[in-house]
This record gives sequence, C-alpha cells and structure tokens, in this order.
Amino acid sequence: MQALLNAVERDRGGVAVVWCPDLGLRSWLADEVAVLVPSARRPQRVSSLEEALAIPDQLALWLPNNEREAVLDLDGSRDLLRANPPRTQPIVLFLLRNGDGAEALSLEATSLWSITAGSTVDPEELSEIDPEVERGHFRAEQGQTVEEWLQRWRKGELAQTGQNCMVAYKAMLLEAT
Amino acid sequence: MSPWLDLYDQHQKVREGARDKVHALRVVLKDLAEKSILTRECQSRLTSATNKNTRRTDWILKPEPLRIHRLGEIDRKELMVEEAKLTVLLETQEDHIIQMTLMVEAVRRDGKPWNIAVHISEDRIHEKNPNGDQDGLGSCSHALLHCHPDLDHPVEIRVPLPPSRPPCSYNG
Repeated sequence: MQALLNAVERDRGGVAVVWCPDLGLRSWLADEVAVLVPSARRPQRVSSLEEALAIPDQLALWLPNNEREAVLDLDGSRDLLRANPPRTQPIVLFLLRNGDGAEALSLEATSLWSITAGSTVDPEELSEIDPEVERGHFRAEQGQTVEEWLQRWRKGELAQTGQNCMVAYKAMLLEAT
Repeated sequence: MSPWLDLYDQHQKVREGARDKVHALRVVLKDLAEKSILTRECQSRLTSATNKNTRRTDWILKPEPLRIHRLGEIDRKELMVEEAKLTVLLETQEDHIIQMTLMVEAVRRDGKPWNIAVHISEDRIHEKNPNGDQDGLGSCSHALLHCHPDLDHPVEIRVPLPPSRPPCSYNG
C-alpha cells in the first residue's frame, strides 16, 4: 500500500498508472487509493479525460471504459496537464494488467509511457511473497522456525500481546498446511 | 434450526466480502488518523502480504499508538487509561476472512494492563486446527463472537455475543 501511495504522490500534477488483475479488483483498488490519501486531496472517480481535466485540484481516479482510447487521449493531451491552471493533483489511471490499455501504453503511447515510468504500480503483484524466503527471514528474526514458534503459541506459552498476535499471523501465513 | 446454529450461520456470513471489510477498516483508520486519535496516515500502514503458493493474504497494522483519551465519548478520568496501542490483523483468501484480530492494549494510570480484543477464530481445518472455528464446551461452543475475562487463559465455556454490524456500517 505504501508503494501505491508513493506512485500517487510522486508527481502531484502528473499521471500515475495502477495495474489491476481484473475489473472487480480495479474498482476496489480505486476505492483503496481514495481512502489512502488525505481527504484534503478530494479524490473523485472520473470516466473521461474531460472530467479529469475539469478538476485540476482534485485527485482524479480514472477507470476508463475503453482503455486504449483513454491511453491515447492522455498521451495526446499531456500539455493540457500543465496548462493554466496547472494541475495540483495527479490523474490516476487504472488499467488491466494485460488489457488493451497496457498494450497501447507500451506500443503506441511511448511519451506517456516514459513520463509514467516511475509512477506505475501493481499493488497485487507487490504484495506477493515467496514463502521459502520469508521462512528464512522469520527464523532470523525469531530465532526459531515457523513451526517451533507456532507450537509454543498454540500451547499458550506466549502472551497474547498485539506483537505476538502479529507474529502468529505471519507464521500461520508461512506454515506448510 | 436451533438458535445456536442460526447464530453460527450469522457469524459465518460476517466472513464473506473480505476485501470490502478491509476497505471499511481502512476508512475507520483514516477517520481516526484525521482526528489525531491515530498517527498521521495510519491507514496506509495496514499492509498486505500474499503467500504466492497458497494465495492466502495477511493484512497487518502493527501495534500503533492510540490516543484513546481523544475519543470524545470516553471520559478519560473514568477510563483511567494513560497509553494505548491498536493492532489490526486479518488473514483472507479470495474474498473470505479466515481469521481476524482487533486488539487494544492499554495501561491504566495505576500501571495495570487494560486490554480488549475481538477475535474471529481461524476456520481452516487442518492438522494443527482440526476443529476449525468450533472451540470450547457447551451448547454455544461454536459462537464465533464471544467474550472471556482475560486474554491469556483459554476459555472453556464461551459467552456468545450476537453478530455485530460489520465495520462498513461505521459512520464516524
């Protein structure tokens, strides 16, 4: 989530791209961005470039119906983003990972691709962990394997503190079941 | 259907719509952060990790300072809590809540601990958890939402509570 926030924060008047695995998660991710940023940024969903340009001082969350058209519109209108009054909040474009928009962005909208290079984020992909690597980290941090720690936890040998509950959740995520 | 089974079914329904509930929790965290009850942008520190093999996801807010005395409806003198921490934990898979823990740990003015927690028990049945979320003794042993007098002693007879409204009904 911090990576998502960083992508939105990076260029206040620019464009950020959020990659979404499917349409259901696209809507949810837009809601998540809206709640991650301070209310003062007044996030608002838009469905066209015109709607986004009409709110230069608000965070525009654009969920396009036609992804390719949206990418090409934005690519051809980059100067408008710097027009008077200049945007003070970015446009966040939500695109499907393997959709028409992704293809258009890499093949047809190379200028937009270059300006959004540091402001693209795939939050679902970023949250993925390799359990074997994390089991190693767990052992280094706790001095015990996941199974050894959980055995003590389940026997009630460890206090029910927030910190221990957190470690228990991490261990259970990595436990081989 | 017996009232207990009916209650169990109602509790089970609370587990569905996990993503919306994570979002609703984040809305509450944001509201508390913007009221300076939680620290700034606390809502962004509810982070996720997905096991790429099992597709199970942890949502974790590490223990965060909670300025409990800023909650208007709580009289600080009566509560006598000096400092508090909030921990939020969920484990989800697809759109299902496997388990959840919300915990406030506080210290009273007299130095004694004052803790409150809500747990939704793990419902995955496996070798280490053969009974799933059914635990304790008595006719209401399956009551997911229950209370017991302290956190460090396993409860044998659960005191059942009705399913509470999910946090999405929070309106500040």
